Amino acid sequence: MKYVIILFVLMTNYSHAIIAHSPADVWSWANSAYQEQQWDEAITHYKDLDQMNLGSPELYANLGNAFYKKGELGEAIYYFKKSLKLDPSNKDVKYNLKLVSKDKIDDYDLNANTGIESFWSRTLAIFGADNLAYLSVFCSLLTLIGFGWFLLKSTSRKKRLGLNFGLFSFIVGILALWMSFTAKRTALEMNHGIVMAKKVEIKGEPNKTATEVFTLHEGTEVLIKNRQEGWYEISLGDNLVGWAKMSEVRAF
Amino acid sequence: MNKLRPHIIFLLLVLFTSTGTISAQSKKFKTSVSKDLVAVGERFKYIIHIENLKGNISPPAFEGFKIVGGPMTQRSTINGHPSTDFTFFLVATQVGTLTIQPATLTTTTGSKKSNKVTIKVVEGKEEVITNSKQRNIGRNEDKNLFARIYLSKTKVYKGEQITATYVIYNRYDYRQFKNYEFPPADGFWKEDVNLGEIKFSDKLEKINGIDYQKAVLEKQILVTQKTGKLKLGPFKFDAIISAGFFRNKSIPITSNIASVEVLPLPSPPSDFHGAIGNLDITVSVDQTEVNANDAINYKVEYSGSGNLKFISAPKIKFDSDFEVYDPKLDDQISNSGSGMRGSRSYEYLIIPRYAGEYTLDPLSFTYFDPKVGRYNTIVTDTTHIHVAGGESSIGDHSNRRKNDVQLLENEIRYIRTDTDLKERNHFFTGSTIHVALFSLPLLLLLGLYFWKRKEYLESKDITGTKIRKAGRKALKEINKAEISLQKGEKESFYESVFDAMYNYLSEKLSIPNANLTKEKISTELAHRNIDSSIITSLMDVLNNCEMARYAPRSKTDDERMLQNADNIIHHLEKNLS
Repeated sequence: MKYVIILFVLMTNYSHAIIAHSPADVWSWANSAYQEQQWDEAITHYKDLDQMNLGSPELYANLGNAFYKKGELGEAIYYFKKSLKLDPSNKDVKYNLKLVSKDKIDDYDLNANTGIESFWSRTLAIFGADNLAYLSVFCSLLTLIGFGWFLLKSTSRKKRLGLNFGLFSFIVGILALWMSFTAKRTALEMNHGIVMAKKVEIKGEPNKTATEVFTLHEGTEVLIKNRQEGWYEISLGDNLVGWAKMSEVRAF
Repeated sequence: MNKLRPHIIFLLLVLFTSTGTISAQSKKFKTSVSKDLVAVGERFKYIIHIENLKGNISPPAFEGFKIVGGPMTQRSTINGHPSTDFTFFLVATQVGTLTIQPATLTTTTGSKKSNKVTIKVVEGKEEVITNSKQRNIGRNEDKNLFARIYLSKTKVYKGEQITATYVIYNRYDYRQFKNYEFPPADGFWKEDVNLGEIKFSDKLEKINGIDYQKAVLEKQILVTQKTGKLKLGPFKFDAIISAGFFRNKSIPITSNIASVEVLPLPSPPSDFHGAIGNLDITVSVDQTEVNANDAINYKVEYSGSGNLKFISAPKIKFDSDFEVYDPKLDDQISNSGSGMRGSRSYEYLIIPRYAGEYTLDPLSFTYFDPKVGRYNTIVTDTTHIHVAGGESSIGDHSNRRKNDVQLLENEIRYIRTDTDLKERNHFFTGSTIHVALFSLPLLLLLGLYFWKRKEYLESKDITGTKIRKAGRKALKEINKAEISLQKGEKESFYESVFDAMYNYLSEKLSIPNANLTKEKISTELAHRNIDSSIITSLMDVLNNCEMARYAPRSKTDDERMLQNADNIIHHLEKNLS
């Protein structure tokens, strides 16, 4: 009986050990699997990291690469887009996305139609919500120094300097704070989607029997405007609006 | 038997024609031939043309000719009139000017004769029958219709080309051949020779003493790819032949199987890349005197007969001062019955970037000649190019050409191996620590502000109020003293006046009570431009109070002193700032 318990304890410990790999290990396994062209294995490891609730622009970019190598266009575009959402400045990912997009059937570029909006969200994403938050804290400190200088110093020249400095810092700080929250909101909202199915019939209403208004193919990016019981209301600009099944479009 | 057959067919055919409704217009009955000058043994056509007539036709006796085919009937309607052509295939058997007698048409109203035809027959060569041993007809074959595959050679080297010829021999009045099925060319690389329309040649070919119509169905150039005994065939088709009146018969025909023995090549030299045949190489440039940055066409041409299509671009090392473009391939290869022949050329566009004397190294080309069973190597001449200084590079060798880095293949960029994995959807923004860190300096600032404000008020505003209050307080004290005086409490009266004055001055001059002496009061007041009479008056009051506390005085003095104190405070309130 004793031995059974020991064995049991050993087993539980062992299985625990399997689960608790460090993310760095999983990351390097995934990369070496990719290096050895074991696409499926690489994808599994990368997805393990995702399961650990971890994420980074590089993780998604590598997943995109692996899926492309495996020949899964929709998945590849989805992860490249996801990577670019976190870090829109990565040139390699942009290049890869452009290259991969050549295999798409639909010749449609969502960004071309929603340029201004994406410029703003891109700017925010390039700064990064957290970086903007750090900036806001820093500006807050500078405000303290500036106004403190103003309050504590006696000569009018120094006071004026302190006042201007403090005022400027305060304005920048508030701006950074606001941008930081906007960036966070943008990052969290999943209002873009990629068509994952080979072919999707976009319906006029969210039900199976509704008339088909247009057809989309794998890899095409759409805007998600609404969600309703298994259906996304999607848009590709003003004229192309319709409903797609959630199983066929993946939001990011 | 052969001669009887047309007559029988004829009779019936014309009867058929007579059943149609015939208008009385343009009745025709004439004969013609396809050629009026033929060689002995050459096939030609004899045609009887009938229009708007019915009856029985008797063809003429073809003296000096032999019927080798037909008659074929062709019915048509011209402008609603039925017409019929009967075609005989004839061969002349003797030399001279021969006449074909008219044909006769017997109708219900009588008989009608057509025109005579005259043909000149010249001495012709009877087709020489070659390869007679290959032409033996198999025992089980239909002797009147059979097919053959001929290979141009029976023993070749691997890579050598041979020609396969698919031939039909026929003696039937055939209608149609269909469902051709050519054999797969296993072990060969195949190229079809375009023969144009398939037709039976006019000349007959004699096999085992029997004349046949011959048609070459297909020619293929085959390049052997394997060693050993390679087989080709059989090829199959269905022949539709006339089997009596209106009845067609389909005969499946299967050819022989041809075979060829393929010998391996003798051990090849290292620079042999598979060229086989009788080949040559020439190298040419369109100009040898150029300016820098002028384009030169450098052409390598392989010519002759052989597997030209198997020759790939030569590996040439050009001087690094040349900009070299990919070669342009130009094939002038014809597939004739004797195999591939012609030329294949690779044309390089080269651009020398700098002035100087350049030498293009000779090319060596090795091929296998199957005729002699040996490898041959041809070495081309050396080409010299003189490049004069172009505009862009006059005497400037330091200005080397920069290589354009070109993207060759579209390959996605490699994965990133460094990363900073973060908890997904976890933001510093809006976290407690963020809010705290952001607000703390601002709260500190607010604190600092209030602290400074308080200090300011204490140092400025509050003392000011105190000073203002001091006057009122003193006057109040004076009032109290007056009440004490009326009550007759002398001691408390003096005390009150004294305290009122002292406290007032202490606060007004911001000097603590303990340090306030009469001397100090007088100097301070004098310093603040107070009238000396007031100071004297004040000193009097203070002295009186001090003395009166120990030696009481009369009431009138007291009232005057009170009046004085009151005046002094009022005066000081006005003048002491």
